[in-house]
Amino acid sequence: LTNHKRRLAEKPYFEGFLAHFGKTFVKEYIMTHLVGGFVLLAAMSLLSGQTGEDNLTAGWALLDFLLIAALGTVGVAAEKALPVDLFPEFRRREVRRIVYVVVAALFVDMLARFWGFLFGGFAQGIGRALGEAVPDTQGAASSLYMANPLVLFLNLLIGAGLFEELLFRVGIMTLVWALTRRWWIGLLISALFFGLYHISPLSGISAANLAAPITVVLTSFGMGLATGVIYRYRGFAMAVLTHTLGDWLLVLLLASMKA
Amino acid sequence: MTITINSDARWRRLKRWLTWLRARSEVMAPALGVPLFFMMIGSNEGHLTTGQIGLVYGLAVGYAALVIWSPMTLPAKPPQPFARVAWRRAALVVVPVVSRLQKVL
Repeated sequence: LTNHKRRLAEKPYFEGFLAHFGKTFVKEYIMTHLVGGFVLLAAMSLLSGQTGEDNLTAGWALLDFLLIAALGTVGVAAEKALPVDLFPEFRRREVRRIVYVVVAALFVDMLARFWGFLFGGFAQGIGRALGEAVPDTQGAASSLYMANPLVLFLNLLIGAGLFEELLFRVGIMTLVWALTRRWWIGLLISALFFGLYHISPLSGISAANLAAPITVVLTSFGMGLATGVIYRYRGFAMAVLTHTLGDWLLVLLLASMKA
Repeated sequence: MTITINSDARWRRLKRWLTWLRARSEVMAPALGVPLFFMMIGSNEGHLTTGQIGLVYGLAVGYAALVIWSPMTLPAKPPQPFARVAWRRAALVVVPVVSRLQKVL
């Protein structure tokens, strides 16, 4: 034990918490605000001069923020009760692992897309049997499309990758996993919520998705399962990158087909 | 005279081999990912230069080699009980990041 940790162990709970809080607060505050906030904000502004999708009204955006902040916090805290480290890239910062995640995500997202394609076909079959039209995925893709692919990637990295993974995989799946001690229960519940989220006003493309709700919910449920399995076995960073790359390629392809 | 078959040792060897194989099953990702990638490019009538094709194959081979040499699994850690400190520390990490990024979007 270091001196600091030994002092913490010797002190009563509340004093120990204050000492710990004082030491880590500045470091964590600076790290999250500087790295997570200003750098991305500056990069986005420099690259585009635009502020991303304006599909959410202020009320829904506020609810979105509250949900992500609350559930993300719950999930990060609940992860401590699990026997595996789901954030190894952030805790250990091993170059080998970071390179691995970036390269692996390129290929794993192909498999996830293929799974999405198969599951989407199955979902469309069910949707049609229930009298639904084919969803306008190209319309949804072109509503997200931006002229600059890099800006689109950064938008999807934050909105689709980081926020959705924080909400569903970290927030819901990790919490249910920690409470039930069974990861697959968390996987199913988080995938179900992920499916429903895509037709809720919290999603920026819910207007297009509501034309064929059953198909969209089932397709998103399938993608939620795939991303959840990636999160279970390879951690948060891999899930975020795979989700982002998959959405990015899909939007680029569908938008180019429409053009 | 009795003949003894060391089936335990054989079974252990087989189990070890299966564990080795299972840990490296991720090699299917580059093996299937490369044809899927080219199929996707082809179906959209996209064209890649020789350098880009080489890069894709190079990354796939590097990835496969890494997986076979040393598979990446999630590291184990001692589970801790839910604690008030953990909740507060988690909030300190998540809330500022989300609030900043929310402003970007």
